[in-house]
Amino acid sequence: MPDTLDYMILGYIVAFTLLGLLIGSIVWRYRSCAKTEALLDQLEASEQTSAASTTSSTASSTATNAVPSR
Amino acid sequence: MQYSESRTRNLRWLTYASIGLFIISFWMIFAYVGPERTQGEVQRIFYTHLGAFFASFVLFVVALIAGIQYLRTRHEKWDDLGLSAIELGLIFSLINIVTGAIWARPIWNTWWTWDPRLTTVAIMWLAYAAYLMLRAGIEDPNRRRRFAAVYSILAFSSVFLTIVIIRVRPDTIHPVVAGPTSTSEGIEGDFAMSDRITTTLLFTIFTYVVISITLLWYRIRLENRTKLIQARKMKLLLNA
Repeated sequence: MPDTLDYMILGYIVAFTLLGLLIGSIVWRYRSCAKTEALLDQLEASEQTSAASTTSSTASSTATNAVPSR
Repeated sequence: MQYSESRTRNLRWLTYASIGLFIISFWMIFAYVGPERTQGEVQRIFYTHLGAFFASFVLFVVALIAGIQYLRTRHEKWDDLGLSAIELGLIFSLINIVTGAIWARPIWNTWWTWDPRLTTVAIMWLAYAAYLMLRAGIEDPNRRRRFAAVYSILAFSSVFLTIVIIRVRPDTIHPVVAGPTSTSEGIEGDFAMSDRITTTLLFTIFTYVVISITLLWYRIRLENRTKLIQARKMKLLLNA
């Protein structure tokens, strides 16, 4: 039987490395998506807060204007 | 995007099944089946080589179906499926090509030769790699999807050619594992398939196909998530 063990080891190292890179890239992209989503959540929340404060300040100024002066 | 509980549970079970099958196939390749008499230990590459080929074949068939379905329905989900399948298919195909080259070195005494099978598999890989590059070059989304669908249908002819070539060309040296062949003369690296080799081979092919489907599922979810992020970014920019 010929001694071809080295080639077998090389073959499996390469195959599993490629498979690992494929799985790793998917995992990495999932994590990257999660980070971006967290950032977007923050931005959306701050935008909602600023929109709400703008609305309330507009409403209060309208209410102040509506009070008859004595 | 919110997925149903049952779908997420199914994906989780498929992931466990893939890991389990991978461990069992690893044990079968290295413990259950012995080294082949004429080739020695390197013959064990053959299981992964063929498993990766079948996985890429299944993924390219999925891309073909997705292409046809997109042209029929114009629904974006088919385009996502096609893109995901081709991206994964390329990696499995690369595993197939590289492991084949490593196996060929001690058996054929060369890493690569322009044998009909090797040539067609190289053409197949390049055709699908070009899909990703050409797709990235089209800006209009509708045009890009239409082009991708047509291309994935046409590119499948290279898969068909790869499968058929060793059965019709008598000058190939690539072994034919399943199905008829035009000649057995000139085949280098062929070997007798014992029951254990056959069982291990079929099990490994099944394992690789299950792994490819699991990864495809994750990849589609990733694509959906990326699109949702893009839509949220656009909404924020428009509101700003």
